Amino acid sequence: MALLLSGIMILLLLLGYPMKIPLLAATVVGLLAYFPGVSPEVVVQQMIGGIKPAALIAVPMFILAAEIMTAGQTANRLLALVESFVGHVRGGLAITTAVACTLFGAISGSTQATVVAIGKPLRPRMLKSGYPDDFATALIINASDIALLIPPSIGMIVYGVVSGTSIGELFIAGIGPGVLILILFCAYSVLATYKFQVDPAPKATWSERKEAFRKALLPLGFPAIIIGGIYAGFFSPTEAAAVSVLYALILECFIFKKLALKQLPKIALSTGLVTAVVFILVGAGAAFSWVISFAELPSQIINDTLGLSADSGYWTVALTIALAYFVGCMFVDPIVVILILTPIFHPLALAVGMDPVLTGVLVTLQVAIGSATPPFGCDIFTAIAVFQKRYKEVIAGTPPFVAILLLVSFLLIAFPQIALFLRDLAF
Amino acid sequence: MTVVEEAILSGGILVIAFLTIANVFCRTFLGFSLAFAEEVSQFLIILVTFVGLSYGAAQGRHIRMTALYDELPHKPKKILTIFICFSTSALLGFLAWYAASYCLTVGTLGTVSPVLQVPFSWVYLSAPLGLGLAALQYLLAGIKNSVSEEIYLAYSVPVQSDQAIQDGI
Repeated sequence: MALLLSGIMILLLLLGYPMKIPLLAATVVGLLAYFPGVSPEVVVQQMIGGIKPAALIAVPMFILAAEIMTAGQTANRLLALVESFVGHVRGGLAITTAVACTLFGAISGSTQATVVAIGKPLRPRMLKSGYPDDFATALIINASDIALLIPPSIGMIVYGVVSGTSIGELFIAGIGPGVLILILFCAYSVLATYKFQVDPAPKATWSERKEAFRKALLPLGFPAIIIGGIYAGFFSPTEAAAVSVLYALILECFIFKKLALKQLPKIALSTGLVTAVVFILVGAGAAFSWVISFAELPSQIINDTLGLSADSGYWTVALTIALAYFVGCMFVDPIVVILILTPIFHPLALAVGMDPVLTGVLVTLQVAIGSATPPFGCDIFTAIAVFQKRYKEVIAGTPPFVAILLLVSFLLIAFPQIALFLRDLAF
Repeated sequence: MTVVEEAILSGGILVIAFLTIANVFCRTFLGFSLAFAEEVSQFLIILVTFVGLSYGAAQGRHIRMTALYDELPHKPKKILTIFICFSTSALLGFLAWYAASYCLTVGTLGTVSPVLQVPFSWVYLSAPLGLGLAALQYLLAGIKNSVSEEIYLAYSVPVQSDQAIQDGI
């Protein structure tokens, strides 16, 4: 059965079906072929059940907040702040890109929004000051992936809902690895600039820095609302998301006056469409998980196919999980991968005593790496669309970044405290 | 149809945002919760999802992996597209049928939502509607592809705008 279902999914995916169809087709075929007595009504029931959890409402809210900020001033102000401090050092513009992507990720939670909001304005400037195209593009794609790890994170929300792990704890545990990646990316950027001639930006004066800081002060309130609000117990992640929508609206419409209120329905429409695309996948994934769990496939795959058990040991299990999610995301959308693989691997991770929060952060990290890795990582296609470049040009510069990310994965497995120390501090 | 769908998608998201914010406000400053807020948000998210399914199909906006598809020459690509449209339509039609029958089952059971006492069968009606309309969209796209020279992603969306899908999410 596992072979039949994965065969159907891979074939339909490769043929170019819309992403939800392979999942739904495998679900329906699995049900009809193996459980002819069960009414297909259950597929619809599970789809609706999959999109119902209240915690998932955070997803459209964070997307809406990100779209409002992308349409407005927030990204520019953050960018100007970072640049005024590090723009003049060696590799300054590259470091600016990495830090600004991380900061924007800390307020938006969407990789795609980060590529658009930070990557789009910065890439032409990097090219102009002498950075090679493949380096600039790869840096933007990979640094935007830090957004997945830094709270808020849509991937973490979905993982938290599917596995029953605390989304608040996942959020805070993502900060450590996110910052570590940022530091390594900055270090690599400085080293890389020894290879090519780059014009440094002029050094900003302290009064210019003060001005940039003053302008960025309000956008910096987002992480305070989201992280502070959740940890102080003021609101749930979903409510934090809705409050950041309100905050984004107040900033962009009334304080920066960059956005007119009448543009809001159009932004909400785009959010609604993106939400529907994601939630159909979530629903289809829930139906698929139900069928494979009903057939007891997860334990068969773990015990018989992979030969793993509760005695397999931490390293074997952690590495298998990392590899499975990483490879999965090289081919399909991260949300689909999280939905399909989590019911299979989550019980095993618990059985070997892995902290569920650690598993969640490891999964999110792998999902981030896989999304930026050829052949079909979905960020590559975002970059192709946003920058109007060819596939080959987009992937040319990625290997060093992927190597750094894999190094961080090993470090995270070896030293779980990278993720857990902040969590232990907060909870 | 499009106007109605757009209004539901956009309005649904804005109402969810408004209700959630209002709920935080009431709890923090007025000391009571809006118990119905979460329930209405859940209804709306189901509505947005299934309406978005058919709207996305009409706009050709669902994510697909096109790396291999793009390499095909025109003729096989066209045949494949026609096949994808019709088979997708058949699968969604099948699910729409069982979604309708699921609504009837829930209706017979008579379960209602805990706070507002709304029958769940009404809330779930968006599933057969959305799935059915999406099936219809793919059927139309399949017919359009069969009778015209160009390749269409959706009834009114030629394949050149493929890029739009990629920045979908």
